[in-house]
Amino acid sequence: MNRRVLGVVMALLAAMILFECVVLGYGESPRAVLRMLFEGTWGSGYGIGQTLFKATPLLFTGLAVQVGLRAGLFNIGAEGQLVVASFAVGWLGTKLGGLPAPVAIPLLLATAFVAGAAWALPTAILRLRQNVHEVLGAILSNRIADALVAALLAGGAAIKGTVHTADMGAGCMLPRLGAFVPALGASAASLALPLALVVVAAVLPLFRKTAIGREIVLSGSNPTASTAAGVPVGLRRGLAYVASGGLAGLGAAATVLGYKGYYEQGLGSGAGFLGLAVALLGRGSFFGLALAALLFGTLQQGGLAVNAIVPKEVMDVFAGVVIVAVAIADRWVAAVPPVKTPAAAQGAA
Amino acid sequence: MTKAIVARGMTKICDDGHPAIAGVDASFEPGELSVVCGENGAGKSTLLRAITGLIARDAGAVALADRPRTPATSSATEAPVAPGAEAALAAGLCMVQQHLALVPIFSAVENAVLFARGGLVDHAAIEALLKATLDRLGFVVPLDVPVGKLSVAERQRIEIARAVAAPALAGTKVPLRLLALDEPTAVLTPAEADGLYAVLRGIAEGGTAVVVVTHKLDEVRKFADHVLVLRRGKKVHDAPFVRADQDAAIDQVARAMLGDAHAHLAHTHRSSEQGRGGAPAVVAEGLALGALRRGTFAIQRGEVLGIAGVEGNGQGELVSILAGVARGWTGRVTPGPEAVTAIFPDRHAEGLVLDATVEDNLLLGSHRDFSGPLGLLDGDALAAEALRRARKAGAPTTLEALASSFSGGNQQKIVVARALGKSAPTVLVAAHPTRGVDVAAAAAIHQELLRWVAATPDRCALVISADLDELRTLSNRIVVLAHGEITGEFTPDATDAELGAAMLSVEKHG
Ligand SMILES: Nc1ncnc2c1ncn2[C@@H]1O[C@H](COP(=O)(O)OP(=O)(O)OP(=O)(O)O)[C@@H](O)[C@H]1O
Ligand SMILES: [Mg+2]
Repeated sequence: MNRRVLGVVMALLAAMILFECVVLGYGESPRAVLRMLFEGTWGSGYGIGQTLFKATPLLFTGLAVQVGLRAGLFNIGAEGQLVVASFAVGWLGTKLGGLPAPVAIPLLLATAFVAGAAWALPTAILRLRQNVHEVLGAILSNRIADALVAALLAGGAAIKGTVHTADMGAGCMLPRLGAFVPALGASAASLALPLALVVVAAVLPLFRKTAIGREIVLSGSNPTASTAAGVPVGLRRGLAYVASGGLAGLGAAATVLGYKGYYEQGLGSGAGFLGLAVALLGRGSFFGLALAALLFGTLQQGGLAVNAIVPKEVMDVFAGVVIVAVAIADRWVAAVPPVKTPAAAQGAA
Repeated sequence: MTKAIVARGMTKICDDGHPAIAGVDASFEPGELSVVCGENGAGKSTLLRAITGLIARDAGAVALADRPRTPATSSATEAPVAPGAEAALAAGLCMVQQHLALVPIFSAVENAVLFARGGLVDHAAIEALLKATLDRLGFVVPLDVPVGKLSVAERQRIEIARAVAAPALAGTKVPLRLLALDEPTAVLTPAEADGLYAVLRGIAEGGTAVVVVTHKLDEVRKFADHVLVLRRGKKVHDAPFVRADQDAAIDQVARAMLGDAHAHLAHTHRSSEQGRGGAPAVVAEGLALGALRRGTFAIQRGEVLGIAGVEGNGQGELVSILAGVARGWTGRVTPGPEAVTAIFPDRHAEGLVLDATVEDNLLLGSHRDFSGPLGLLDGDALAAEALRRARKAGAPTTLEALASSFSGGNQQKIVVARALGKSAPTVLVAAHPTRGVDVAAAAAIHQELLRWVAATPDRCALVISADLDELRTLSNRIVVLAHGEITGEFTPDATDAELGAAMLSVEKHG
């Protein structure tokens, strides 16, 4: 087995053991909780659909964080970018009443991307022109995003007496997957999922296959040398960070367009931060990102499933332990030198 | 009595399976100055790093022995040195690496603190120790400035002092038994290098075994007590340097390094064509930034202008201004940076993206020229261009390997290959183009550099080097940069003494 995969599997096992200890601590039987967990996620058509639904925004935010990392920037602002984009989409959707889906949906997706990108722009400018660390800028912009959206909702964007916008026009919703695969039932998984997979598959190769993509990676890796060789480093890294914001914003496709049909305060919250974990675990490959998004999607959905007997926050503990365990396993994999070929050993003798 | 350092069967296998060094035996005597030579990638750095515990060895043993020039087998009187940097330090084995290893935002003292051991750090005591060591070595460097702001030569002095003081910094009582220096003279002028060897001789006389890696046979001739030559990871020469018969001894070393076939090194000669007339290709007036106070000069078409001088007198600033990466400078220069291709002085900071492939490093800054329809890169065209550039300058052609996996000299060739591979620019600014490159490869790079200048009539080059022979080989005209301004202009046949006097010229302004 691949050493990296082995590391992840061991990390998962370790996290599982800890999880069971916590469950025991609540005086519940780990077996019963595990059964509930399984039935609520991969054990039924509806559970699978809900898990896929939970994984969809994570694909977008995980990809977003990954794009930032390639440029050497840590986009901890995906959370705020997603909030702003979700609100923008929800609000615009209420104005697009009569538009047919083929027009409305692309328009809304573009809006989500642009809103997320725009929200990332100040952080990128601060980082690349004034050298204010992007994590600092992102933390601030996350807080501002929450406050701003709350203010806008209270200031008239929401239906009076609620914290959500009015329903979007009929042409604004992404169809549910259940319409094509009846087994998924009434779950919230929507066409946003295949869309996310297509976006991930389309974006990742750009770093190798386009000049700008390669320059982004090289700029992130050694800005000084790249500048010296004539690469417009600030523009490249700025582009990556802003695009990262846009991709995080696309996460609204899963929540607003694919699920609710309106924006509600708190919708999709947490997906931005989990995107960090997905990117770190996914290691920049398509399958890595997809599996990591599925894993954390499972944990999120599983938390809801077991909520009746243990608090769903127990699953957050589990997720945290997975992240730490994977980080440790990674160091362990790196510390053990690879096996040398016999030919080499002979050559050395 | 102080002990000799004996290494047996030293072996290090690279990640790709080929041995960087294979079964090398070496012994270093207290009081002696040994020189290690060999082509780029021969394994010199690897050998010394393995002995001083900076990298893990795959086989071999290091021991302290009483008997000089110990035979192949160990004896009971030997004290083995366990693997690892801590054990090596505890035995008094220290090294100054090829690529300087100081934290740029820390001052000299803070960098020395990193070598201290134990829970609490006595900052004042460490400062005193470092000061005393610097004084003893005759080095003058500012102690409270972030070392990133110092010149390469100053940083190197700090590293040497730190290495000499390392056992004391770590709180051990052992004497400095082995001081290894990896290409310490690569960036120094001949006068500075002589000064450094005088210091090293003093350290050796104090009972330390001093080991120096160099590509300069002249230094072997002048200073070596013992010479060790590596070739493709094996030891091919290990003998005292017999000064009585210098020429034969040097010839022997050269043959061991390069193999018999190449012992005669082709000498490159600068194009006899002088400036081609017409308007000058480069005009710089009053360039000022940091150490550079007044950079005023002109370069004719077809001309190679050499800049001699002690590192830190404005060379780095000059390169950044001409290449368009400096900010806040004053003065005027034509043409702009778009016409300039540059080799920067520090290959790790400004030259390479170490964790990128050879191909990406060879093409850094040129990727956009290979965008096809839809903005997609043409992979074959990229590889072809990368290979073309690599072959011209003798750089590695394993395009998918990471730049970090090559020896210092081979990394330098990648940097040179990129700069010379660009055809649009008309001005080449080359700082230390053959820094750390072996003799044969340096000659090839010189030839390629002159060919680049001669390729079209409007090209010219500015070469900065600490190696006066290199400047004489390449330049049509040599100017000296001292205290941030041009203090003298010479023809290429100027002697070391003439150039040296201009380099040390006293400041004209108060
Ligand atoms: N980090 C590394 N990873 C993989 N291979 C390496 C690494 N460092 C060195 N090597 C390989 O080990 C061999 C010896 O390298 P070493 O740096 O010892 O050469 P050197 O004699 O010091 O050359 P130079 O004169 O260029 O500094 C080379 O083939 C090089 O490619
Ligand atoms: Mg070396």
